[in-house]
Amino acid sequence: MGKTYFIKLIQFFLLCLLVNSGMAQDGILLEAESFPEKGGWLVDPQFVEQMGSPYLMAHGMGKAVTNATTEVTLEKKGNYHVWARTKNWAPGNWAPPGQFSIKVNAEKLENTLGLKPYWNWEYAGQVDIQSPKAKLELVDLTGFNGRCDAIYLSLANEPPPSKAKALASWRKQMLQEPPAPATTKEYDLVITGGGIAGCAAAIAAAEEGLQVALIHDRPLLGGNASSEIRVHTLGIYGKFERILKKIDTEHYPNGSSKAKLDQQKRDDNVKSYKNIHLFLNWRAYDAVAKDDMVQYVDARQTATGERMRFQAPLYVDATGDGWIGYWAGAEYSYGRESVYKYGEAWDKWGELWSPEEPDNFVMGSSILWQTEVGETTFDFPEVPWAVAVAKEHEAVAGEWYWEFSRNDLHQIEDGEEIRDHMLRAIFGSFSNAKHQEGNEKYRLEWVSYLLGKRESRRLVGDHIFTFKDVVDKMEFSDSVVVEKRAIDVHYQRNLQDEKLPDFLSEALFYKTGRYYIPYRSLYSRNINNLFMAGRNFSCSHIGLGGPRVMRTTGQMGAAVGFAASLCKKYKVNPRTIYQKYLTEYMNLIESQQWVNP
Amino acid sequence: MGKSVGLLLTLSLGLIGIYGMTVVLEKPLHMHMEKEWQEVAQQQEMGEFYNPDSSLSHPLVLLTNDQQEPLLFYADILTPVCIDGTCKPVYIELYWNLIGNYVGYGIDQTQPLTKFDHDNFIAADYEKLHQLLLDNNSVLSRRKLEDLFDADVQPEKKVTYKGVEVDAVTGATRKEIKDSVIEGALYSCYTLWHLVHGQVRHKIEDYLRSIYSRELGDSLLYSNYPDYQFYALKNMEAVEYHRHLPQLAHIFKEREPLIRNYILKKLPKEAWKEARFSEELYSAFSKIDLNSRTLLLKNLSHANLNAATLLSEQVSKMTKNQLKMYLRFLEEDESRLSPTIKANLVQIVSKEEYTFTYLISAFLE
Repeated sequence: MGKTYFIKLIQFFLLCLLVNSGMAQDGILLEAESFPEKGGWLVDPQFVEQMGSPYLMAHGMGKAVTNATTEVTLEKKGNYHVWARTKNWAPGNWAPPGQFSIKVNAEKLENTLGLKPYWNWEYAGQVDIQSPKAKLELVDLTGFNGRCDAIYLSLANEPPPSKAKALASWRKQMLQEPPAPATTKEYDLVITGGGIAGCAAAIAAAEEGLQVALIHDRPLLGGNASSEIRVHTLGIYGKFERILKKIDTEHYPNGSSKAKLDQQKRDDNVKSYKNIHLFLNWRAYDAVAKDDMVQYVDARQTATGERMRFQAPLYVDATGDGWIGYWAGAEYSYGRESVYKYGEAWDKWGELWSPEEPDNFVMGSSILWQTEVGETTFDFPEVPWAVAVAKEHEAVAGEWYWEFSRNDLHQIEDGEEIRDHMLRAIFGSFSNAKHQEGNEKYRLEWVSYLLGKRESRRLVGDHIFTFKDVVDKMEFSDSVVVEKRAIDVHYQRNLQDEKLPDFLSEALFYKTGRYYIPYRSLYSRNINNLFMAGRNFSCSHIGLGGPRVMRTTGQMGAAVGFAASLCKKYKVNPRTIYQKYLTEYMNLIESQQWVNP
Repeated sequence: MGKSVGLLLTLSLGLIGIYGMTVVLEKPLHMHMEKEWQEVAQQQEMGEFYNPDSSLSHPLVLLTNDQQEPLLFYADILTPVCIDGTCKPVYIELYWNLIGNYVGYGIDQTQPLTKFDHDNFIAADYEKLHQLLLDNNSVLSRRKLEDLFDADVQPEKKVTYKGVEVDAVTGATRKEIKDSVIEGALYSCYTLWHLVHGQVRHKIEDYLRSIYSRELGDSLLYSNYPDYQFYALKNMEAVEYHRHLPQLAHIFKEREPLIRNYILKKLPKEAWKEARFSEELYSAFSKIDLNSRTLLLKNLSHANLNAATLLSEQVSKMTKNQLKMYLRFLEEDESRLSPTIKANLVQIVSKEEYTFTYLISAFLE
């Protein structure tokens, strides 16, 4: 396909007869994210595993975005029925916030879309198409996060399947996808996830001469540190200052637009390595293990849908959510362990710190946002669907503590609901503030639509890093990461006072001296060629509290990259480095220390 | 203590090796446990606690009633607040409850609190100080003194700490801490917060542990104070919960989500089966926080049979995932879908006011 846009226009003419009617069905499936002209709509690939596909979203912060357009080639003329797969993302007793419509050859179809409270096909209307090509447009009506996964045109009045399994199977059929990607690429190391940990791993391995594939589902590197999410990098550099300074950030306030400067630095630096093969906008969707070894990672281009298989003797899971390990069958944990499991009590904070009974009430995810004061007044629309979440809360700025977790929500499986809840909190709080005198000139300058996650799956390694390692000041023969940042664990404020907003958190800081993370926490216990770096490293809930920040996760990445180089040199798996080549490995890491001339 | 206005109560004390003393207390400016304070009859010294900031030790005093029952802890403080070697004295009387939580303070009317520029505190400052001291997780707890000012902001007047301009005036403190500290009195706030939340709390906790008994635990549980109740709940074996189900139901309905969550997670399975208790918990479903609701749903399988029926009347308060949990529970065993529950579900579908009726419709099909 090269660099040209691959327009995923699927023209599928069903030859089979419908069982009951005996009528032939002619249908065309258009993936919205594949529209060549996206206008102001954005590709959102965050929730593919839950709702089935990347989708287009009209993230206009209250101002309708420009149309996304595509051209569709039709083999048959006729009266087409049109459906869009969409949802009302904030259902309630108000007009749905994310409404849009469809135009075909400039003719607006009858029905407004984005009305049902779950992902489903909504009927847009019918249109008579007599030309061989037709122009199709998504028309945002609200500017508030209307979303469209796909459009289906059919001469028959028969919507596509709606249930997840049937839909996935139908989709494959429509796409005429073979079971495996047509292209396979081979490397020395395949890293999935281009956050700070993944970037550091790629640089370290590349500097040692490995051919590295770095697969990342966004256009920009850095994950939570990217200018798309804008969390500044905290923590210390450990032994890897030289590498981490290529990719970290200044200590600007969270959400600052200064993140763009560091973004440029990071992207330039990573791209300067000829042997880092960068796959931006590629999202991994599968990994298969055989005999406890990952065999390959499959990924899909988030807009075009093109697929590719990545093979290597070694893999790094730097996805944050531990997807590679999860798919490959690696042991993992999720949630808060009982305080007794690893002895992680801090009596001062009791249940807020670590509960007696285990639960799933992990630290939440954030959406950062920024406002600016313009020269003229700025009207913000009424947002009753958002005020229902914000309630009385007023704000003209966000910070790290805009964070959402609830014990019926899973940070991965319910990610879309969590993101949407935060958007409602932001728009609602801003709307409340706008009603106050003196705030007339405030306008939303930037609101992220990407979840900044703190905690999700944690893959289990040979060592599980816990609070006890910190309190006991454990030093290991394989200490490859060092940190001195306080152990910082969050809880939702409304746990102590239910009148407080449910989207604000509080941090508990356990001050400490230096603590160390062993190499054994950075490879899987049961998948023998899988490293992990980033928040999905091997740790407990409390163990994650300190080292989850990005210079520390960057240290993990670099440590893993260097380990991979020795794995290649000796043709061994990660565990053998600890067992047989630890001295050489630790010397290699020691040699990375920045020497100030 | 030499106070001009006070409460005089004299009784003898018989506690271990310490003699009871007459108590003369000036009415505190702020006091969360007014009733207990009114009952104070005796005092006894409980040793000293150390303040590393000032390198001073202060006597800790236990206040009791005329039955020698402990009520409050108290300390009469004189401490310097210093910046760059310039110090001023601060006089304050601090009170803690029996589990070491700060509950109030008083001042000597002749020695009002002052700001760094010697202006006296105004009423709002005294109130703000109380709120600050009540905050266990104040920003003051995790910052070093030198981190508590923003060198980027120019103060209107010059006061320095280690050569850097500090907080005495408007605009000098970080915005983050500005909300919680009293303008112009950052160092007083800092000193007092650490005094209130420092070593003294451990002293009090140690004392409480040394006298803790089942009876004392019960009295805390049946008190009207959430922190006492939570302390008692934590220090009680789960099997003991059964003795207190009416009180647990009361606490569950009245207290904050954290305490509710704790009770629901610790309750032994047998307790869930008690019809009356189960009814109390599940009938409160729509009135309590979302996290507690989830825990109620998670425990449905061992709750009394009345629970599922009570929930069927409150389905419209469930989140999507909670509704899924509920429907899954009903689906697991056909007998759980009683005619009453089914009728309630049908009714909510017919009203179409609830966002997730589509899930119920699919379930009923």
